[in-house]
Amino acid sequence: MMDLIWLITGMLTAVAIITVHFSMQRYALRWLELAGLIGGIGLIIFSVPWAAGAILEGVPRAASMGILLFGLPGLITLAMTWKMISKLPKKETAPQAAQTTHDAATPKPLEPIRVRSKGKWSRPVAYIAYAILAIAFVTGFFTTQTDFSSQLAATFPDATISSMESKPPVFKLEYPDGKIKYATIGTGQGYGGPLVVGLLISQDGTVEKLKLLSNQETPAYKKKVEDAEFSAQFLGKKVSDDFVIGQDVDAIAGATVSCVAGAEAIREGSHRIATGQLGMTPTWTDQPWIFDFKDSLVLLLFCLAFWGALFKNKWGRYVYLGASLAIIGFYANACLSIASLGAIPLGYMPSIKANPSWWILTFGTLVTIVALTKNIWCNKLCPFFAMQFFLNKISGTKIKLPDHIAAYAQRTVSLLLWLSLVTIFLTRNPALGSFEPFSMAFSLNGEGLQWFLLPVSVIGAFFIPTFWCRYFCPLGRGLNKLVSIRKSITKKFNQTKEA
Amino acid sequence: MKDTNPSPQASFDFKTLLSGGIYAMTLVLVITFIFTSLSGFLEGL
Repeated sequence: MMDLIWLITGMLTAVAIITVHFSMQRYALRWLELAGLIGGIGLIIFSVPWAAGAILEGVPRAASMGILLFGLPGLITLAMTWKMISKLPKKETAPQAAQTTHDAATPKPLEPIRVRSKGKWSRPVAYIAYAILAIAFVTGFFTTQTDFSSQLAATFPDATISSMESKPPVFKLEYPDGKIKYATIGTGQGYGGPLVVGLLISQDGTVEKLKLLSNQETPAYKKKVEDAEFSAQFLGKKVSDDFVIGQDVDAIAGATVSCVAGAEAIREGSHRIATGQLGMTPTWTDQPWIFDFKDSLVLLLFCLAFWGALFKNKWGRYVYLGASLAIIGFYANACLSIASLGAIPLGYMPSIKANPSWWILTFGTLVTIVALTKNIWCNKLCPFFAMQFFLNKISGTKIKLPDHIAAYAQRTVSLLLWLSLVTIFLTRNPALGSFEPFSMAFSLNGEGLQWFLLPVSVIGAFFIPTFWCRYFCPLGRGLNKLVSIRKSITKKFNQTKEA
Repeated sequence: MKDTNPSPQASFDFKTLLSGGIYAMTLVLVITFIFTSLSGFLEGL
């Protein structure tokens, strides 16, 4: 791996030397520009192996810092120097340079941007892409069925185990000292999919041991819950307890959805043992509706998104986007991602009673697409759009990608959406395919590559308006695709009606 | 002799360098992210 990094560094150095060489040939560089050019390139090249080395050592934060402390100043130095160089007069001494200047005076017309229109291959390629998605879905379904029974049985090597129920598994454990315990699993719906907890219950109905057997939570959130020792508060509780967040157990701030899922899993497992093995009659309360202030604000913002006049007014739009950034982004951290869309076909939906915001935003957006053929998420509700909008307003720069790159970049988004969905369906883990930096942007909990994606996309949005939305957002492309599918269905329906 | 210097319109000006650079960097990160996820999953099989 390190060899590859040195290779990349070497290539970068070669490109840098060529750039400096041509700049010197073309422009009468003074020492200041030369120093800026070499210094800027040097800093960027230095930051590459630094960052890569730090990643390999498992310290992505150090890598991120390396890029921010060396790469970014290098980029700024280079950009400023380049601005100075472009104002310099061109050299006219050497014959070759003279020739170049002549060419420069009468430049060849640029070739027209070749944006290929939908050719004969686009339809077969689309069908193949859909077919692969379907194959990934089916393959994922059959390959990721985990056998929790054997996993659970292997956790208690010193007991005699007899199976009481199979789906879901319940085991009776008999220990040499005569003690009897029960083991089972419980499942809750987390942010990324099912969260499975193994439980060990004593004969008097006390929760003795908990083990997280499987989860698909974003690693940063999982770590937060583990660090706060969330599960410790369940140990020693009775199986007949309610296990409801906000009543007899507490959530960890900033990771509520994962905590609700954990409590749901433990509740399910405990109550199964209580009624099935210990012969108790249910005295516990059901999961109550958790519709708090945060959810009311999200619902209000969702309803306001339909008020067209609000967005026509400049200040109305500013206030709305500010509210979306503050509420859906930072306060509720309920920004949708491709994981939210991808989770639906997999059947991984968090409980509506415990996560009304998720349901309002996800299903609200989808129902609006189906009923009104409108995508109200992008450019309105999305807090990451609001973040980019304000960043770009602050910078005041509106750089565009060169047309020929932009044309391909916009096509690449479809490819990214497809790759992301294939990953989600194949792994049946929505968090794995969701490469968006949204949740990290609003919680600053990140892992690995996310430490780089966030700063780079934020810097991008600073210079290029709606950088992420235009060139990367798989959710935006997915929602717009749904809108166009909905439109074509209406069109076909109308055509058949006319015929 | 072949002209190695590009014409001014096709040359890499400041804006192209900046926007293209940021785009390329983000694209590399996104693709690496997806492939890391996929390869991690495939190794676990």
